[in-house]
Amino acid sequence: MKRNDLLNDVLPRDFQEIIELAQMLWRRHPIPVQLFLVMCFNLIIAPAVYAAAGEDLTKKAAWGLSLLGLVIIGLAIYLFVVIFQPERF
Amino acid sequence: MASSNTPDSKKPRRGISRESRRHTPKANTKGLYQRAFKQAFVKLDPRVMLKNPVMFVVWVGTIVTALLTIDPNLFGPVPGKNQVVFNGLVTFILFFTLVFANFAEAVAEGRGKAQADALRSTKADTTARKLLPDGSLQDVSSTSLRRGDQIKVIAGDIIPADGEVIAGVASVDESAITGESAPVLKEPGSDIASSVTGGTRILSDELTLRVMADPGKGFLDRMIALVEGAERTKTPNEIALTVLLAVLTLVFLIVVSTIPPIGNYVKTPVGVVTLISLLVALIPTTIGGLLSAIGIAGMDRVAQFNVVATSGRAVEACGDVNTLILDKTGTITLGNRLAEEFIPVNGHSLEDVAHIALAASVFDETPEGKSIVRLSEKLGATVNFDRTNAVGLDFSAKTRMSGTDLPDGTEVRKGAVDAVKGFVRSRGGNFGPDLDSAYERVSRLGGTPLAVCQGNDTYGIIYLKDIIKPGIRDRFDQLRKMGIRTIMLTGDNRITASVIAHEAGVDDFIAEATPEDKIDVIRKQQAEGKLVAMTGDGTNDAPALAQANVGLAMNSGTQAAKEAANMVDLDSDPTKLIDLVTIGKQLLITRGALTTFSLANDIAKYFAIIPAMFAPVGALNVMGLASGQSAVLSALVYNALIIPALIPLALTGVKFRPLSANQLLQRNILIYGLGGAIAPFVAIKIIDVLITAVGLA
Repeated sequence: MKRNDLLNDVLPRDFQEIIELAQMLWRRHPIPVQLFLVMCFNLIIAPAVYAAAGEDLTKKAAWGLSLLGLVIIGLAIYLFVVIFQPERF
Repeated sequence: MASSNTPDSKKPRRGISRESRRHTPKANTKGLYQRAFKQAFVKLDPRVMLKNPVMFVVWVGTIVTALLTIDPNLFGPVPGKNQVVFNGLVTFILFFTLVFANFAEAVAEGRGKAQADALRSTKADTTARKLLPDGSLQDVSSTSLRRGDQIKVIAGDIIPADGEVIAGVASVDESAITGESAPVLKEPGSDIASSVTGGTRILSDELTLRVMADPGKGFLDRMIALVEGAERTKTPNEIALTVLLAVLTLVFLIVVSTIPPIGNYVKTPVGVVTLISLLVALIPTTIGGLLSAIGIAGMDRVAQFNVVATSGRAVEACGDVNTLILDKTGTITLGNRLAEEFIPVNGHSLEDVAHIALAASVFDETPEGKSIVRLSEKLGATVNFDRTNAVGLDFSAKTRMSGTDLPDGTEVRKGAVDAVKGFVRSRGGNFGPDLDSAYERVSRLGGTPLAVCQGNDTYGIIYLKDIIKPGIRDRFDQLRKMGIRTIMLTGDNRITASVIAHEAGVDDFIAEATPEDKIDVIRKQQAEGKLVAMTGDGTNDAPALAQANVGLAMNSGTQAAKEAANMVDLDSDPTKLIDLVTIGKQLLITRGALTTFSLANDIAKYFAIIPAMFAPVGALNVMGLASGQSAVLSALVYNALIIPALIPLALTGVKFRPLSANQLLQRNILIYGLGGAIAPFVAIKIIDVLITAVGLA
């Protein structure tokens, strides 16, 4: 694949192996990988929610709210897929 | 066309209601509801829930409220007391909303499976007598038979596979698939009565059959697959409705998601559980939960009418049909045209006509031909030539004549009057005015006139009597009320066609029609944007059946017709098309009615929960509900309970009424729209009183 070759040329060998490992894990165990990525994404969202809410919100609540926000976005994306590709369901 | 040898009880039924035409399968529904209840929990699997967008959102909401039951402050501090109990009750109600929706689908599937099991029980693995190329018989298992194999069945045997009769005449009991115990005569050579279905029993004599379907691909197998719904795909109407429900769910999801900032701004923060309750109350959970049950029950109803449909799409198409094209003989008329009278012309005597009619019909295996032979013999005519040296000519749609070439070279013909006139003229003959007057006389009686001739000499007219089916006029009136146009197609002359059309009450007719005319009529109607349905049983009907939007083939018809059509009537009753149109319309009306009801319910649920969220705005509490928590719980309990309450309506369908589209719309908006808006106000108030009395909120 052209893009992989380009990446292989640019990135150090270690990173290439990590990417290949990630691709293999994604194929074999998609759900745990997706959950892990959501938690990682929450690392960015949660502090933003905590900062915006000020001290009224605990860290746990900020995490919870940001996860809830991600769930809502996920549901919205799912509903868009149903609207544009209903034959899949 | 029914054979004249067919027992009276097998002749098309007279003046019978739609409900009595339904064949109730002897399915074992014992334990159906217990199994469905178990299945309702099994279907909570997210991979299954994902296929229903509305209920999937409820599923996600249930998970979130369950987490909030464990830790009410998971998303921040929430005002109000007894949050754990409240959150737990909401979780419980949402969980049972999901269970009830799954239960509806499981009941519909369970009924289909019970029917499929009943059909499967008729498909015992039997032993078949396979006819080998050297003429000997070999006993083989029915599962080893393949398309093209020849088998012999004798009296008492279960027919091992779908087939076509190639030799023999026998009575067959088709009650295993049709429910009718009266035997059906099966014989080879004609477009009708030459097909047999696997699983039926031969009662007398023996037949040699050619197997027409591989194992697992016969009509019984297709019927089983249809009612079981195992491989059911969504129909176009279902897909469109799913998109609508997804759009509404998305809109409400976005609206509810924007409420918290507004609530914070007016210093009335709203808890996540209340928001989820509002979302679940607003999204169309009623129709979302019942949609698949309605579709499955629709297929079940089609099977109960003994029709095998290739897909749900075909059944839905029936509901949208604008034009119905029907044959005259056997569909509008009883079809057992019998020779009633001979009318001599050209100075010939009655005995002369009988003699020539007999000669022209001696090789004619059709019911009409046999009745002509009987009438001729009754009048004293006999066959006075060597049959082995004579050549019989079959009727063809092109020549519109049949007859015999005698050993001495004399040509004897019978057929449509103009076709026989052309034949006589081509042999240098002529005919007098009495031929036309006899022809008109028979036509005005609604009969079919056949002219008979020998060489260039016309002998007379045979009057074939046909009777319009009782009750057919009322059925056409019903169709007209529904906005469906009926066109009668017949190969008969204009006068006969006009008389029959007027008597039967069809909207239009086409006389002297050839098979090409059938396709032309269908194409012309489709070019005008109409959906066309037609029935057929002969090989010459196959192109038209394939062209039509809804093609219904008779089970007694040829394999070509059955393969070309998208539905097969196991009862071989052409008027079944009218029942199918009704079922299709009923399916669409039921979906529309329940969707209207589901959306109209939102008004009351909105007025229940919004005041609960913004408590200081007391004027919005139009129902006078006791508290914020009781309002939320009442709305959710109503939302959950309305689903099982509407299961019977979803499964049986809204009662069909032959009304125009406008009248139907007015009626449904009044009952399901207005009723859907008012009923929840009363129900939620009653539930609120009960909840408060019990002390749950």
